[in-house]
Amino acid sequence: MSMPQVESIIAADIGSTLTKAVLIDVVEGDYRIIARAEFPTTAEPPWSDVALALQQCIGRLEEIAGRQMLDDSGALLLPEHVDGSGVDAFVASASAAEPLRVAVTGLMPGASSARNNITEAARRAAYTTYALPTDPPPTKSKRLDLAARINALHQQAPSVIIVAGDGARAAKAQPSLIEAAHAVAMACLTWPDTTRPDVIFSGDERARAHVAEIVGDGVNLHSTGGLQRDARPAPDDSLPSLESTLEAIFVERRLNRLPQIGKLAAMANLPIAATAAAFGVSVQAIARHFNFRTLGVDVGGATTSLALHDAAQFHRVVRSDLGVSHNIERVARAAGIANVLRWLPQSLSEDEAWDRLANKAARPYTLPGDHKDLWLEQAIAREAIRLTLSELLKRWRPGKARLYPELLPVLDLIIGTGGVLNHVPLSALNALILLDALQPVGVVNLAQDAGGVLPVLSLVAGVGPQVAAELTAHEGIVSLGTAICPVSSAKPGEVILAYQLTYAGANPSTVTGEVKAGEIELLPLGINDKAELVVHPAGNTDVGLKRRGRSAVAQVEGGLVGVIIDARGRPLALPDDPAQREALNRTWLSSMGAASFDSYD
Amino acid sequence: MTNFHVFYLPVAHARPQARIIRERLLPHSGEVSVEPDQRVEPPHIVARAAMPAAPLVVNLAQRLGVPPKDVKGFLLKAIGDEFNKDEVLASKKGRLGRVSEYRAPGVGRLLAEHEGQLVLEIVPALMELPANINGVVTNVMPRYGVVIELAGGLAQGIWGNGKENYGVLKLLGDKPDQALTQDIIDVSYLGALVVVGGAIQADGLKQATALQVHGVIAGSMPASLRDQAMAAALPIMITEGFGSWSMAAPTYELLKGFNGREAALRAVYRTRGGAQRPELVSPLPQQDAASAEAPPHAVLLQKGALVRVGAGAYLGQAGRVVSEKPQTQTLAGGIRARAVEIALGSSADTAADLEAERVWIPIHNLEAIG
Repeated sequence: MSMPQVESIIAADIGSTLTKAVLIDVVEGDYRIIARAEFPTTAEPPWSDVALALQQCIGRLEEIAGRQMLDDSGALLLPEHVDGSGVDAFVASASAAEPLRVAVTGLMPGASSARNNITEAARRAAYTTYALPTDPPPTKSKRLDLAARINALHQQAPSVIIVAGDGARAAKAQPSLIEAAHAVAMACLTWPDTTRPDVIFSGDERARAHVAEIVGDGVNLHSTGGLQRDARPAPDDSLPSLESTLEAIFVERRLNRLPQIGKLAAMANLPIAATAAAFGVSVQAIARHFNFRTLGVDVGGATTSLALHDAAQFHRVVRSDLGVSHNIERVARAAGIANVLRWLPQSLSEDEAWDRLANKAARPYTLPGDHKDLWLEQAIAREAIRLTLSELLKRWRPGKARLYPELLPVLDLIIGTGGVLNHVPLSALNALILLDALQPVGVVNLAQDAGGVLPVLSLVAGVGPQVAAELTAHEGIVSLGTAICPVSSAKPGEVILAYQLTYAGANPSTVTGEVKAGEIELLPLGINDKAELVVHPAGNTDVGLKRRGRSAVAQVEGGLVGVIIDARGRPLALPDDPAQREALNRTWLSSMGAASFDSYD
Repeated sequence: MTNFHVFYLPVAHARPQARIIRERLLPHSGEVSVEPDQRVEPPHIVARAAMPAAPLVVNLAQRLGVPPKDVKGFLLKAIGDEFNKDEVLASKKGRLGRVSEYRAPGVGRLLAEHEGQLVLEIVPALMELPANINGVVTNVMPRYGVVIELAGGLAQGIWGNGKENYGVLKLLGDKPDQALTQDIIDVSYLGALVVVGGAIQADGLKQATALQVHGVIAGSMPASLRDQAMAAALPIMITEGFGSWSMAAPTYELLKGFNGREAALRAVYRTRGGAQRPELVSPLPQQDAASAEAPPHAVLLQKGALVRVGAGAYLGQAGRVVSEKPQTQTLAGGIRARAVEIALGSSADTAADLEAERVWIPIHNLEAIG
């Protein structure tokens, strides 16, 4: 291996709740994660300085690694010195900033389905970065006058206004667009400079100059590629997309204004990136590396993100309103508390659940204080992923990967990261959260971000491509194992498949067995171990081949958990009776090797 | 924070006396009505602002019968000018001496003119900002507000309903688990800030509202009462959390000491985008603010530190750190995390420490009291 210029790197993520940092360095010729640390993020008063939490993290890394990396003033020693102090590079991402509030105006909702599609597509664009679409005040009128439009904008208190026009029509053909532009112009005149929103025009190029003239010079106007009536971006537009424009505004108006972020930017080898953007690039890189249809899942304190790479398609969904600390109550409200409680293995009343959720929101940096907190946060994670997935499914065109219209299309790899997934007592619980929330079909590899490096992996690649590649291959992204998720119409208790697992290696051995509908079967297969799995499904069961009863042979890889045959059914149905449901959840936990939780009570 | 190898805890203040510096800011620009070095009482109005109303759009071009581009020439007010009801905002002399006028429909401000249309802000009400505390104005931020300093006792909570008020502090019951119920408040608490160590009950909250109590401070409250608490006009602060928890002993003892004193309750709550904690301030009028010590923002996590637990079965319990350094532990819930050992309910008395129940608590679940 030729010696790269960059050997030691600190990679950090400034989350809404916790700031995390890892030290990467060469050990016996390979890049390894030497140490990791976390500290509650210090963006808010009384600290109001994001660098403080990072310094605390690096102080802890110094302690673990036994080397100095900060000078007396708290600045990183860059690059690494001959005596081993300091590091060669520093990269960071951040998600601690509050999301943009995005109001959409332009075409009148309800006027036609094509117009609704365009408005909806503009709202949906907000979910690709740290932005939340706001809801206009309800109105019975199909046509709003100017005053009503201005009032609606004021009530939404937006940080960004998207003026969404028809991507294939001139302005004169869109009187509603012209009225909206006038309303935006007048509303903007009434806001002081400090709170005046950015305005994005997304529409036909023939309307751009007209809208710009109406809106005037006093407004920070961005023009983006238009949206067509089928809600797809116009293909031949040379302007930046609506999504990339929103992200640039987020970085400029929110991320770069985090208190004292300049201190980090001054030390960093690359610009501080939005975490979700860096996470998306990391997932893409891994997907390309393995040539896998890959879904990345990041469940944070304030935000849940999904990143999907499927051949030529890449989709990112960022729900800045769904998370397991600051936004924990919002998840419960959006999903419904009953949908949260259905994942619990023990009894918890709705009132007690709300008390616990409110306490977590009030002290977002706390870890689960007991088992009930732990199960509740993991249940919230399942629902946050599920709600975010529903947004992703509106964009993904899976083609042949969709075996059944109501089920998740087939994936090759699912990788989980984020505080709630990185703080599990058992890796098997990670696998179970991903299986419950996503309910994949067929054969899929599951992995976890053991190093907590997934979001910043793409930034690490920016300063040392070899470093990122070795971390991906070794300890950074760790396999949980392979899951086989059949689709079956069998009743619980019926045998739906027989399996034969033949372990590879010097002394191959074979394990056989049967799995019943409603069960999880866990077969041991360690990290880096391989085996051949032969499954013979019953006539009413499909193991991901879109053919019921067809046997399959798969080369499977092991992991921290092993080979999981998830025969619980798709979609996963849980009993209505609380006692039965809790017992079933306990059975599944036990099947996943988490039986000892009984003794935790 | 200057030492990067130690852990600092956020602080929930509970201090019998401290130098307290608080900003009183208008939500929108307005005018400040006090001077630097002026002493203020809680009801003293320190600033006023016209609250923004929904903008009113007037098609002036149509009313005056002129092209939109000519409207500016007929305006008698500049953008940003204020006006009174019935004041003439625009006037046009027509042929034969006939005058077309547009008169203001109310008191307000001219916000904008765009293509012949006027945007007016009609003021529905004037917002008056009281000092809400006794102190001395040490800084005036023209148009936005003031900084007030005082010496006094300070107790912070974990959640508040966004309201504020002041009054005489009255402790209900004599135990930290006393709940706020209907039967323990009567008319004698009118205008008071009432303190209970335990949980707010629905009937107690209703009674407090009906009796025009000026504020409630409690150890806890069920989350199911939050909507009711948010709708109440009186400020409500809880110190420990949601559910049924008793107030941490240091906070309870402090408030017990404030019994009968004037106090101001500011029940603000925000965890993101400018985090704020609710707090109660009880001034010490005889003491000069400058002579008191400002409370620390952070406290070093070290042996002997007074802390309280923020999650799990011990939520709201105070104690002292007895371990030398944080250690990685497997905690209730099965998670492995850095934790310290706490002697619960302990005082500074070493002998009492030996008797105290000891538990390992993750450092993320602790906050300092001080």
